[in-house]
Amino acid sequence: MSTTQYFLRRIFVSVIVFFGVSIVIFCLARLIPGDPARIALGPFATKEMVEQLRETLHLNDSIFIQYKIFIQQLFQGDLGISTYTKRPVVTDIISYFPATFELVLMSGTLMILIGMPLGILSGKFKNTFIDHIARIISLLGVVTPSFLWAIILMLIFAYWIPIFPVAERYDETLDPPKIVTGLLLIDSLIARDFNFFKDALLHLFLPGLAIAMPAIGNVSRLTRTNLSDIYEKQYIEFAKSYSYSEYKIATKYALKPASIPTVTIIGLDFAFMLGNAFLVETVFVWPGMAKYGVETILAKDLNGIIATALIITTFFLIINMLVDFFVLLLNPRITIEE
Amino acid sequence: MKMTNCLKTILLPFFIIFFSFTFVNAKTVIRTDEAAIGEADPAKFSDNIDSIIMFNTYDALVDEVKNGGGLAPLLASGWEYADPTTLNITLKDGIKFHSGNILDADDVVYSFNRLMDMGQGFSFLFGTVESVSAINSNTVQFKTTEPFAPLVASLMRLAIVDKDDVQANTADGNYGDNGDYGEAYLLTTSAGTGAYKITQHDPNVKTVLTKNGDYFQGHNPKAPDEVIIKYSVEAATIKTLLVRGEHEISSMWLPNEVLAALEKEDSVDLVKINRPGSWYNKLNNRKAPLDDVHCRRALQLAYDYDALYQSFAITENMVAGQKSSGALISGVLGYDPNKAPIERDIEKAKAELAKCKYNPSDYTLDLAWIAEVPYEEPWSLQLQANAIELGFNATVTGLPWAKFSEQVANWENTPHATVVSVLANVPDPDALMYAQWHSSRGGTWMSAEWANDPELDALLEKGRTETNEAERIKIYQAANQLMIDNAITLFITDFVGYQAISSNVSNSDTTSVQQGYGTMGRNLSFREMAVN
Repeated sequence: MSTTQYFLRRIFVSVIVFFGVSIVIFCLARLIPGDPARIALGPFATKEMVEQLRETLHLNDSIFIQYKIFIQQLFQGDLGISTYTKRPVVTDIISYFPATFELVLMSGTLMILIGMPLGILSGKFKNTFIDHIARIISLLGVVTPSFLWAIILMLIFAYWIPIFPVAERYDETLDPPKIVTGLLLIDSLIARDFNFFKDALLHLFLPGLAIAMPAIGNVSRLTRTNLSDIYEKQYIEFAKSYSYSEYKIATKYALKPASIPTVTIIGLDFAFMLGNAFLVETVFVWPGMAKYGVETILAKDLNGIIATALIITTFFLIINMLVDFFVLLLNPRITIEE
Repeated sequence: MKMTNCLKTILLPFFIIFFSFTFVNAKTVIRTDEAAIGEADPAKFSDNIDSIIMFNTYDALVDEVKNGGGLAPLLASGWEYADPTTLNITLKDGIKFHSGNILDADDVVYSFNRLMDMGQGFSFLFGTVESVSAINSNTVQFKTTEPFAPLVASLMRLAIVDKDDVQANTADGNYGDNGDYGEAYLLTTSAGTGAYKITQHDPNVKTVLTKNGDYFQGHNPKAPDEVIIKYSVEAATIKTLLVRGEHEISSMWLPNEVLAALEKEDSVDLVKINRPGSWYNKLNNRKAPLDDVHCRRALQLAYDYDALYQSFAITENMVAGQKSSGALISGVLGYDPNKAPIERDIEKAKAELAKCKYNPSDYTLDLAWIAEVPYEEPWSLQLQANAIELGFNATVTGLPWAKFSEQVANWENTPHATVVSVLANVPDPDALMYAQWHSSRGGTWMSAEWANDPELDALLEKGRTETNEAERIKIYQAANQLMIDNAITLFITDFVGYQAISSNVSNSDTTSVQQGYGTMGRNLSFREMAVN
């Protein structure tokens, strides 16, 4: 099987997984207690209005009919109306997804920029003081949940030493650039508004780091373990005997094979961060999709719940495929078999 | 030296002009927060945040006068009853909507029909209104099916919308000739006469209000140019923002430990605000053993109000609660500040229990609190401890709001006692008492008592039809005493909130405007506040 055939097959399987997840979420969302129409309209709405909304949402139809209508609308790019925000769900996703995506991109970048060097240092200087310090940082990263990191980072860098902003994506006094991608860093660069770029970057740093901390710990620990194993291989000894420089051995012969499992973990962590951003978004008043997703669950906003879950599912599937692709690039020994 | 002097001569005027310009053009802002989600549509306003938006962006025909002073005309110039079921209201001349259109009687009729046709928000307050019509361009007539004394107070909740503006922005919808009644348009904008306009609105993130320079009542000269309301912000974040000077007024939902920490900050003041609401432990009056008045009285007398009161303490001198003296609360017609609060008396409780037809040890009381409001849990645990002291078995459960709303529709499924808070929608006791305790109203989250007391029903019905205010006060005070005597519900505490306010705005203008109102959300009137 060629690589192209393999990825085409993966796309086909991903589509099946997507629809499988949509069925599961569709059913699970309906198991949450409470009448979505009553919750949406509030405690004082008349019974007639509640019944009318139930009809509009097709809640009086069987679950099979409801799913059929959902799929038909999905193919038309319509995810229905959010009973939580009273807006089209597509509008909500367009409003909230870029904020979370940009945050997760920042977290992913920090995860790689901090986690891998930390792991390399730890593996290179195994059982030294540097290793101990790096392992403590990694361990703290892994065992401390992101929302606690959010509070700790805010306390240190916004309350005691107020050098970073606390809330939202940008300073309220600045005029945001014209929306092109929804990612403020890119949009501000397109508009050549470097002052805004700097402000948006500063706003991203603390929440991005809070989300990244557990992943930094994961990546660092895995890189250290793999690098330690690789450094004990005979071919490294062989390279050393040829008097190759430490840098060349580390980057060319040790790091590349050591990073294969790490890339897999980076991919999974990256996808997990999208779903785990909720509490961090709440702490940093981040207008993102993770917070929206949880609010829709509490409000039993069926369309909002399904849309959020499907966006995260799609993200997972794409990341998984990208990870496989990178692993193939990194390790030519891996072959695709029937 | 000469060069320096020369530079000073050139630069000084420049700096003076620059900073004067900056000073003159500096936009003053008040940033506050509330629990999501904020509604912008006047036909959907229902809770605290909606009320704050309503009172700042829309006006009603009447307004509340502080400190129990009754009602005063707002958009109306006056009102009179032509007969007990016909109310004529005249409008002030020349009041402008945000669009520049002039208010007339058609706007009032349209606003009322829109509210009732959409059937949400405060439409439930107008169930007795048969018709509303424009007699002429500045007179509106309300006809009710029966004499209905709280009608004028209810009109505080009829936000008047700009008919022409809304109709010009109407899309296709579910309301026949009225299309969508401007539902999509009013999702993100305002069409009222209020002191502020909505210029940005994301129901899950924030609402930005901008000063309406044409407002007919004017603004405090130091009123904020802009108000930013942020939704569902963590208490720790609010604390940091307040200390950094990036937030001006907190919501009333900050935990006591955060308030205690903020009390030590120089840049933040805590302001005590009596709120028009109460916490109740709603006793199910139809479920054994609480269908027996003596069992209910036993619980009422055994409940340790003092221990509970201590749990509201922020510091030694600040307690975020006030002992309750029944259903009539501060700011609402009939409230008596001298009435003694309900107290624990365990001996009397045991004596009442002896008269109860049920053996307490045969029953397990299911006591509930709303899972989304974790600080309610101790109040259920307190009742559990006191119920066990009397010999009952008792379990405590945190019920998600959605599940509670579903369970309460049927008295058999309604817990024996549930902690619920209720805020007054209008400063009239009818809105507070009829909806909660008239026997016809059982089955909603407000009426988890399933009250079934004919004597109370008769008083509440009489209060609705009596138009003499002094008589109404007597009726509601009698109803209040009857509720206590028959232990219809357990009154936990009246709301006393402490709000953290930045010292930039914690001046007498800002703090005094927040006191003395008996209507949810009325206290945050930004046009009367001052930013230093």
